[in-house]
Amino acid sequence: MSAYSELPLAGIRAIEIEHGVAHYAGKLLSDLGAEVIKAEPAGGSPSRAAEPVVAGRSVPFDYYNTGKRSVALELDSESGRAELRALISAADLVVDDLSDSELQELGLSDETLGSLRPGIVHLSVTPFGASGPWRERLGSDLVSLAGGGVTASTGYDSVDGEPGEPITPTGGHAAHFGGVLAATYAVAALLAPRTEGVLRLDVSVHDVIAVSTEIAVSLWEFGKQTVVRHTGRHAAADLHTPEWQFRCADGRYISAITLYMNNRRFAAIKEWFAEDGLAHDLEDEKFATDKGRVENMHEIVAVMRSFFGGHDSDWLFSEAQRRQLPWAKVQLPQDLVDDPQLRARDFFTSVALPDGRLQEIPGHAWVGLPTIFDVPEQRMRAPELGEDAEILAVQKRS
Amino acid sequence: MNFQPLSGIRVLDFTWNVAGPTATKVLAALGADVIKVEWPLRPDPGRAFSFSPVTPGVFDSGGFFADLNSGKRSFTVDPNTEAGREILEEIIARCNLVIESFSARVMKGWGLGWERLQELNESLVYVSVSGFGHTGPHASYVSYGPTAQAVSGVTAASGRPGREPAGWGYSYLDVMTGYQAAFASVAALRQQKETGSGARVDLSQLETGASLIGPLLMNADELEAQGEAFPPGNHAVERWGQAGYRYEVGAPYNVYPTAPQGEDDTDAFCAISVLTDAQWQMLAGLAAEHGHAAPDGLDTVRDRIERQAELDAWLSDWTREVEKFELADLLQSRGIPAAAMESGKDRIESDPSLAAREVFQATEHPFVGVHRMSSLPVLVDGRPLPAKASWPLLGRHTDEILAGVLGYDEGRITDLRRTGVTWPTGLPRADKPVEEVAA
Repeated sequence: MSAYSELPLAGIRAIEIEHGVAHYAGKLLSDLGAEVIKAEPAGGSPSRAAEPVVAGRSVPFDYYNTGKRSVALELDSESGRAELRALISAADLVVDDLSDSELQELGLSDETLGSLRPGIVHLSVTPFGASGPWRERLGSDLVSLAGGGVTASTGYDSVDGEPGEPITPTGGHAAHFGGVLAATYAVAALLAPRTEGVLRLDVSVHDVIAVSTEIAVSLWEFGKQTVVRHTGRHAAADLHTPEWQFRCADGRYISAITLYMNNRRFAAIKEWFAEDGLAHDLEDEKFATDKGRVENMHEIVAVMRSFFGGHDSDWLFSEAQRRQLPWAKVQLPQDLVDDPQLRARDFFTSVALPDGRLQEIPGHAWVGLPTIFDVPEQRMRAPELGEDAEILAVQKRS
Repeated sequence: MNFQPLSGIRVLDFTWNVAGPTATKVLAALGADVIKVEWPLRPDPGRAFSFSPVTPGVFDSGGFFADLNSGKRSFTVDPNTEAGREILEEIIARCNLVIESFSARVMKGWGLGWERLQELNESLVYVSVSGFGHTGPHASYVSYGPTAQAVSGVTAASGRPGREPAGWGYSYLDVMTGYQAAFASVAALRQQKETGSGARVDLSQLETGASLIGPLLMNADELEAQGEAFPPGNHAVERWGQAGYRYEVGAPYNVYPTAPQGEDDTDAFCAISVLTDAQWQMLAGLAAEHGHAAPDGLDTVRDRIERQAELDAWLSDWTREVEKFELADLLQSRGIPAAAMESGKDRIESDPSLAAREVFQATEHPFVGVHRMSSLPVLVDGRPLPAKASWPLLGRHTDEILAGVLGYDEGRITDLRRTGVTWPTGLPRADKPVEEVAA
């Protein structure tokens, strides 16, 4: 227990009610030591059934609920709602992704929250926010990413002068955008908590994505231009830009950015490509300056394509990095599981499931801050439904 | 009452480009005093993004840079001089947090490695932001956002079955690593406040990306078995029974072509996600009302996924007749998840929700002018956070920081400037009058 009390967010208690949007905010808080209690309906949160389900367990549920506690409540009954209110009265934070009407059904107006626990933070993470003309609208991973702006910038090269096919990345990223900023706001708020009422933090996934696509908005606001999608590289105002993703001999791809190709990097490329007899193609004076290379990058790219096509992706990755070129193999999930850098930094942690099987859980963006994965006695896995019912009994006694 | 929970927190910010400055924009918007350190002979390259080549304010006229760095103060000092490094050490002793995004050797090269930082300030939080992290066999690897996206798996998780990866159309991991750094920072600041202890946070874009596809890594064997059916384009899954990584399953589920908004609009799409049988019945009814009767025999999600190519073609026939915002309005009014695929222009000019929630706020910048800048997106007790109309114009706050934070007197400040410690000798400054800059 002593190790647990040293986690950065130890001592914070949060009640989480989620339908698949607010779970990432809760995970970030939980993994850094906050006590995050999932208040679930008696039948379990719908996210317990989120695909893919492997050997009876939802993989995303197990990932997004590490270290959390679970209580199952009869939320349709007054007694269940009373238990929820009792939980909230001993919490610092409520995190949910419910609409206002769903909150009303649970009897959780902000006024109620503030009277149950003066100074409580109410962190709401919803597809379009709790105010504004779209507050009751439904979201999905695709709807949020396309509506917010990721999709318009992402996809394939133009065809016949028309913008190419838009693509929306997979991975459940809509919830990540909203969740990471929401968790940041909540921890910041708890640095200087109020003593009365409720602090309402209303986070809209749509709003967060709208400001999180780099230049797409700025290019319009400052230049009245719109970006065009390009395969495997940045969207840009130009319909044609030099490619920087190439197929290798083993059928895999390398991401070899052609921006920032300064004199040192260009010299390293020439020296390397000379091994295949390709350096003479890059000797022309017109490639000798930054400006010249930018203007003639399509010709350099043709040489790169030829070179990469003759070698396997793993070798290209390590050789490029040995030459301090900022290029990398496009890795697949199965590559990541064996990635030497991730392994050296203990990115994965084995946790025991209730049936005794072990599950490898990917870690965090950072190293250095202790997380529950670093504390052996801490329960790291996702909770079984209602597994922590004793929390309710303690509430009743106190 | 303004929400400024980090008021009183001081941050020394060495970060460049996008990832680090994204983190410190969040901290500044939440009330921290962010001191952005640069040397004008090698300033943040981000200052050059979309800058105007006109001489006045050449460092300060980038619109994207202004947006990304609002609310910070600019401090110029030469860290390669003895006097410059002493000044930095004095500031570090008075800071809560130091953040940088150099390669692992740069801070050490200035004599400001983690051990020295701890000597200067035992409760300091030190956050580094890099591609691969500062330890491990690949610590010396070099990268930009797209490199990190490729190596961390997020590039491969985007694309159409059987085609090459589409990746991301921008440096997603610059933005997300910035946000993760902001979260790690506030968590470490809480620990600092509660226990007085410092922290060394080593953030990598590799781990940021890998953590953002966590469930894919947990199920990597299954993905390998799927081969070219993964990833599924814009679909939830490509075929029935396939594991999907949007964590929801349904069809129709795609972005559909819509009627153009104007003559020059060649890129109009609307995202539609049917996730329940009830939503399907509603969609089929709506389409029929508009003269596009749905194919028969699609009552279950399995049927719809097995025939989703046919469904996409049928639905596109209708969506091509309707403008994207109008279509999203109509679908959402019947409880079907939908949204116009928004460009940057749409978000600035046409989105009523972003407008009502004041996500982009007209803000005046002395060189850039009045523009709609990105706020930190949150409503606090129903009100947006006001955008901060203060800007890290290069070197603009050096003297006030020397006086206000370090207590230096006028003579000493003038000497530092004259001897080239706080501004390069002979380099002209932006020639706008200070009064105008301050306005």
